[in-house]
Amino acid sequence: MNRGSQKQNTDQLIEALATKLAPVRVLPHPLWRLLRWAFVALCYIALVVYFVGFRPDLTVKLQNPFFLFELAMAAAMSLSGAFAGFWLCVPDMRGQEWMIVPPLVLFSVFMVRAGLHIVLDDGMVMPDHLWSHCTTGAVLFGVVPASAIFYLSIRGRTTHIHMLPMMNAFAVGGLGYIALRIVCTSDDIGHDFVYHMLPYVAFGVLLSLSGRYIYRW
Amino acid sequence: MDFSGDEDIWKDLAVRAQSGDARAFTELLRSITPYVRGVAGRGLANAEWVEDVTQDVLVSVYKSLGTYSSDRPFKPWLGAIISFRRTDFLRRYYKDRAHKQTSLDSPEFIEKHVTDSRFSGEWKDIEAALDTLPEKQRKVFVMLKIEGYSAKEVAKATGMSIPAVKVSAHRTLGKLKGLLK
Repeated sequence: MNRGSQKQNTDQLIEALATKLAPVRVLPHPLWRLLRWAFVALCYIALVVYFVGFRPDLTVKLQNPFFLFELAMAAAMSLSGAFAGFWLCVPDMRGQEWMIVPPLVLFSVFMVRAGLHIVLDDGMVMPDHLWSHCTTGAVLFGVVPASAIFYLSIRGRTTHIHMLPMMNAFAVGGLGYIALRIVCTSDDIGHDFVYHMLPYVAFGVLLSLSGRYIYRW
Repeated sequence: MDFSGDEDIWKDLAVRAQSGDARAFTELLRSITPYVRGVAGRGLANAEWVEDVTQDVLVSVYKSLGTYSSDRPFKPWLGAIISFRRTDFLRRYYKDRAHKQTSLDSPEFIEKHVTDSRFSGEWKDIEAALDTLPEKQRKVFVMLKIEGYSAKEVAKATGMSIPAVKVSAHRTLGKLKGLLK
């Protein structure tokens, strides 16, 4: 095709797009969408925790500063992941590209901590897996927050098709981790990371690898 | 072309387009097209690709109009789309490269891409400049840069080391630039 006919096609394309134009609903501010997601996710998780039941020693654990710090870290990872995810739905991230750094750093802290524990304390032995408890729990706690964040994400138009699912995974994973920590009696660092957080992140990696097809626009 | 004064106009047109104003949208697309061509053209090999990416960007602007927020400048939003579409285009191009190979025996291809009479004078200048080089230096340069042999193959043919071949070609390139100025 020569340049002249291509230019003509561009003009025709502009006319065609303008003809098809209908009033568009402006995407709400990312903060507003984040609040909507957080409300749905927290209500759902609170409901599930209520039905599943708290761990018997929760009142004791809540007096442990390390336990509280761990929950705060997971909450920070979830919140920063959600922030980054909702900002990533806009092509230019509203100029806030730095937002992807905090969730990555917080996840790395969890990963390094668990890695050191498995290598140094457990002698490279993989933590025990409780299929009935941890797997069903992770799925149960994650399904609605993950579906909600996915639905809200695909309503935007991301230019970061691989990073967006990772940020969403950090957002859901942080919440799921907190929920599992307050229902599951395991305090093993390796177990908590591998079975309470990693499944969410692994799911995020899978979505990320297929991001080109899922987040196509 | 200077687009520094267009920011506010584009912003206004985009907001009007969001409310369904087709004329504003047409005007917006027409006025951003030269800017898109200019930005997308950086790093693209030919004008056809630039036009393809430009058209992709225009369609993307249409599809993502709802994500533009009037409290933000327009250019970074557009720039992110251009960058995304250009990368996507190049990814697709390099993925399909094997299917796009054209035989050098094809007269149509040679006419369009190889034997371009507009550049025949330039090619003669290059040939003349090459003739002024020492035999070995010319051989290395011609094999590596014109005939498409790898540095390893050139090194084997000339009995030089691979780094020496690369250095020689680099120096020759500099020398030719000087001669052709």
